Amino acid sequence: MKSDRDLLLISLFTFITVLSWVFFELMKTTKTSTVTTTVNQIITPLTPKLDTDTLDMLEKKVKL
Amino acid sequence: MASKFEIPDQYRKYYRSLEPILAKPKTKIYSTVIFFFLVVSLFGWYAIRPTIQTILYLQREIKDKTAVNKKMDDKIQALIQSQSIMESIQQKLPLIEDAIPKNPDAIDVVRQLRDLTVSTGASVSAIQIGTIPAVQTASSSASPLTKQVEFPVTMSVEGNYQTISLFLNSLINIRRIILIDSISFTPNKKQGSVSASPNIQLVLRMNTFYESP
Repeated sequence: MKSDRDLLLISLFTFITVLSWVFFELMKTTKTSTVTTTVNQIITPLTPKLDTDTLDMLEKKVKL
Repeated sequence: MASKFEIPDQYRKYYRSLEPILAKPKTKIYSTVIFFFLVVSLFGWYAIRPTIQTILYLQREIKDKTAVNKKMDDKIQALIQSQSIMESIQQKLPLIEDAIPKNPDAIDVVRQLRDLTVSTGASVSAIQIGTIPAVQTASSSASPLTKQVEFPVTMSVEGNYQTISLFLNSLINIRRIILIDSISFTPNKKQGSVSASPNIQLVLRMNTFYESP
């Protein structure tokens, strides 16, 4: 009887371990990004604005 | 003749000793539950996990690719706008090189400062160019994106108040970027007579820049 209960406990803990392991593996898969570092660098946002005021100011300055 | 599925004689005794144990209802329940857990664990690890993992990975990939696609579209639009801005200011681009040249052009700085003193009527006592670093140092720039390298220029100029004032106004108005670090004014004591406009000696410590390759 005791060996039955031991076996039950072992199988139960195995079940719980496997279940939590599967859960964390799946969480990891959900959270991990599939975008590579290279692609991340390529898609870095670009602001298409240029400080033309500075260029105008430079134009007004004297070139010796 | 013995049946194909019959237990061989040498093992039959073991089976017979197990028979009363297996016949107990409590053992039956225990065995069912134990096998249930073990089978579900094995099935979960080797069948359910890879399947759900693939589903979640593909879902994540779709989400990521959609986001990347949107960002790529935005970047393409931004690049088109940048291109049009670039074309509109194409003729003004040499101004940037005048302000921050690609080479130190130290001789050119000296020439410009000399020309400035000549045009304003002041006289140069000394011009000294400091060590020109070949590459950008950590202290020369806060941001790693800026590639400007600075080098010091010290200058000593003499003239009356109007001349010095005109010189300083002209200095901040030249296209080559020169940052004034410190200015010191001292009356020129060599001058014996007291005139209406006494001479002033101006010592300027400046920094100028060039673009590091």
